[in-house]
Amino acid sequence: MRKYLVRRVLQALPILLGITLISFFIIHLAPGDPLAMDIEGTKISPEAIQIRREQMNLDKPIPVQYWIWVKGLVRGDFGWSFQDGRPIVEHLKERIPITLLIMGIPMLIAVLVSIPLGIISATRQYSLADQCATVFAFLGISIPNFWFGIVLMMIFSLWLGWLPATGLKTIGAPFSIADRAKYLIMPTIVLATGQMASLVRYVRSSMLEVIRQDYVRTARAKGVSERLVIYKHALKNAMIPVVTILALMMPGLLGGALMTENVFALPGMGRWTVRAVFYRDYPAVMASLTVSSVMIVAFNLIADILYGFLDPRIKYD
Amino acid sequence: MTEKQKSASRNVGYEQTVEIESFLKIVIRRFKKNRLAMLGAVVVIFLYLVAVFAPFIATHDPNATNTIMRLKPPSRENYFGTDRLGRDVFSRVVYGSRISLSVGLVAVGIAVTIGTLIGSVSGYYGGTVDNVLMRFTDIMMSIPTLFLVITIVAMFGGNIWYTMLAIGLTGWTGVARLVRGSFLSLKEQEFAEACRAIGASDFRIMFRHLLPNAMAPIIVAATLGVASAILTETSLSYLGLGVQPPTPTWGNILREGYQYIKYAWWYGTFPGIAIFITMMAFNMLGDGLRDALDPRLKE
Repeated sequence: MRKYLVRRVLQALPILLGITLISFFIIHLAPGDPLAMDIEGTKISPEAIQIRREQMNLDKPIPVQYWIWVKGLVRGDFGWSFQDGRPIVEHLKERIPITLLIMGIPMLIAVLVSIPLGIISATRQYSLADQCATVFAFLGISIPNFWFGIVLMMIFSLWLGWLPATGLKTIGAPFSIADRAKYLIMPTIVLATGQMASLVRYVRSSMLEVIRQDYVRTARAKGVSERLVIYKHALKNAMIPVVTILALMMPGLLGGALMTENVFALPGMGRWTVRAVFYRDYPAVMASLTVSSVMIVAFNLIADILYGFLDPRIKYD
Repeated sequence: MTEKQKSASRNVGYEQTVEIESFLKIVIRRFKKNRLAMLGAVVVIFLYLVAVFAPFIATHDPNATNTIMRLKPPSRENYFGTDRLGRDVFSRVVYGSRISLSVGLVAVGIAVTIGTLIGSVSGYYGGTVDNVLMRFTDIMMSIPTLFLVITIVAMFGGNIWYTMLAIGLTGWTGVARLVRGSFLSLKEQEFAEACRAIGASDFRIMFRHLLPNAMAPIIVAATLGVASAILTETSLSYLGLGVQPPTPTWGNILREGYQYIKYAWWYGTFPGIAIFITMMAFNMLGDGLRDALDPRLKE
């Protein structure tokens, strides 16, 4: 098991290197100049601009710039933000936990709700409950998350006044879970809906496939109660493809978090990234692409390890 | 002579053609039975008609400002109300459909072309070629699409062409994997071997013989892909990165509407509903096509 883990981490390294290479060249080959915004309309001397350019390493060839960036990364140094001169790592330390929270809670809720819902849907195929679940799934997959957020905000913040519209905490109030929860309810509903909608469909179809198999029939023939057949015998096998889907849903969830953070003005990675691309803050954009990709790669790794628990046929050696 | 016999006698020695034609008929019949899928198809056709005939459907010039008519609620004159400059929201939403629907179609066209090329070469040749191409696919799959797309569009510029390109260039990985998977099993089958035996070129085998047999999942992926491409485009416009105002897009009308959320509920609501309906239609269509094209589901 440990050997397998080490090998998988080592396999992920070239992928991560590839990600940084592609991101770096896209950003640096683009026309335009991160200094253009500072220079515009000001009377900065060309010499001063040249010095600034050298400080930012923008005067060097792109491969050299990449090498400098990678050398920094190995030491855990993402460079300085072009916007405010603060080390990127400090930004990341503030932003990553918030984004993980915004993604994590909805994911947990989605898993907890969609598994029983998918099972009901599958075991009572074509019943009213199943049809309701199918309609809900279509609606949930199709509703654009940013618009859903705006609609919720309009109803619950502006019209009813029950929930705060934007931000993460009441200004001036001490930190409390109740306060934080009030701000997270709407973003969580938005992200959980989309996640649940797609998960329910996968759980349903996976379950439908499993309950038609011989071993399930055998279990029933032995006189095992229906409850045990479904929740013990069938569910475990039905979960295997669902874990894969969860891992595949990660990029979408990250994108959803980005949009949700922007709608609700939450100070996470997504909001930071959007500001960074507007300002051509190269180090920040690089850090954002790298960190978000690492999240996906890490999640795939976790999914692979989970297989081991769900499917003993897979041997790690 | 029946239809089937005719085509058989026309194509003596080309059994494949007959097979495809009859399969197509089965698919169409199955599809017609699926009411949700038919609804999706009708709505998609309707949306494209709206986009094409936008000048005839719009009641006002989408860019004509009218300071007296600022932020007026929906009325008989302005079905969806008016915006911050007194422009007619209905007409702007009608014109906005052109951007979203064309970006969806072109971006998916680019993605399917790249994905099919990479997937078929990878699956057909195998070995080192496969390994290199699939690792590249893994890399592209690990970068969250929206993060990459906003970076590309922000760096290269926000016009409709870069938006299409950025979404297309990041959206091909799923198709590549699908096509590779089909090719791996198809190339081992007898008909592929027969092609090789009579000396057909690799190119001919791949694109004339194997690809038609791998089309079904590609069509489904493409249809569902249009929905996600449209979501990405509207997200970009919403963030202020895609096609720039004053050209109306559903995303940028929604962005403006968000700023006036306290005074004008209609401003952001109607473009949002337009996106919602479009996504819904493509998802229902794609889902119906999946069921209709699935060879495992026999009547």
